[in-house]
Amino acid sequence: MLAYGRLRDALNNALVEAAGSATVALERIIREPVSVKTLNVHLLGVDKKPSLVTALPGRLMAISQNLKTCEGDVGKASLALPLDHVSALAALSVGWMGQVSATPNGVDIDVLKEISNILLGRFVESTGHAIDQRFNPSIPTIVEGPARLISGYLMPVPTALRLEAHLSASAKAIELLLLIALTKTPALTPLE
Amino acid sequence: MALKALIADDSAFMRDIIRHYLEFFGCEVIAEAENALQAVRLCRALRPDLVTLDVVMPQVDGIDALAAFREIRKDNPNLPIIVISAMPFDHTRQTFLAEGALDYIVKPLTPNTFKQVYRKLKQLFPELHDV
Repeated sequence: MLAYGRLRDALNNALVEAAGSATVALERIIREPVSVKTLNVHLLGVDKKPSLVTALPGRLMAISQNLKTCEGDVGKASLALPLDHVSALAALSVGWMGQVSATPNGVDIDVLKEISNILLGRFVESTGHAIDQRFNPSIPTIVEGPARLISGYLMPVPTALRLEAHLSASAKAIELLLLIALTKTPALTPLE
Repeated sequence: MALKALIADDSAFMRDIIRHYLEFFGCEVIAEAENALQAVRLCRALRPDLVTLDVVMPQVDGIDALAAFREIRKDNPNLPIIVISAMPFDHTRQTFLAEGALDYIVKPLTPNTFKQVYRKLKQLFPELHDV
């Protein structure tokens, strides 16, 4: 028998820490308060909660990185947000040091990729630290589509573990989701 | 004469931000590379005094940021390279610092993060502006 309770506690703590770290980074980028709306730990076969990706409104854009360990590909880390929130996020972010005052055409995606690298870097690092995994993320890829399709794309097959943090910023005008989906759960501790 | 700098980052947005700081310090940005291989080639051709190198960039011909870092150091072991990355991973930081990076900065870049770089650069290059 495996200690799901202990694993769940460890994952909950990891997720709180990872979401907190990403939140601080996002606040530094957009210079506005960011709140954590929901955190979700999903263990295959134990939980039946749907992915928070499907709760995001409208068409979505997602930036996704494959995660590798010494064992090879072990899953994905992703940032997803409603397509019509992208410009607002980019506009808030380009002034993050007051150096760039406008977003020329085509810059939104570049900015979004950079924000995604930063937030996922924090999210993956904190999670990996808490569950004793050293992840190496790949170059990000960007996809766009309806929530159901995006949700499927962001989950490796099989998905054994999903950690999600739903963040909200700028008086809820910007919502985004950070997600790590792994094909295996971290080492489980056998019960006595 | 201004310090000649090369910026290697696949994001044009980030290159703008890094350029802003380097120019503020008194550097002249002589080139920008958008991948690691381009960074190596531009270093060889232009011989900058300083390089900033992003860690997560598309590989071209199998050259990633670490391989580029090593190539650049092999050509010019004393060239200061500032690694700028979105990845806060300790093992990545330690790898680049052990290989001789002047500094490893984690994005998002803020005036504070650049202050630390400025102090190191000013020690190496006293001719930089006082900021």
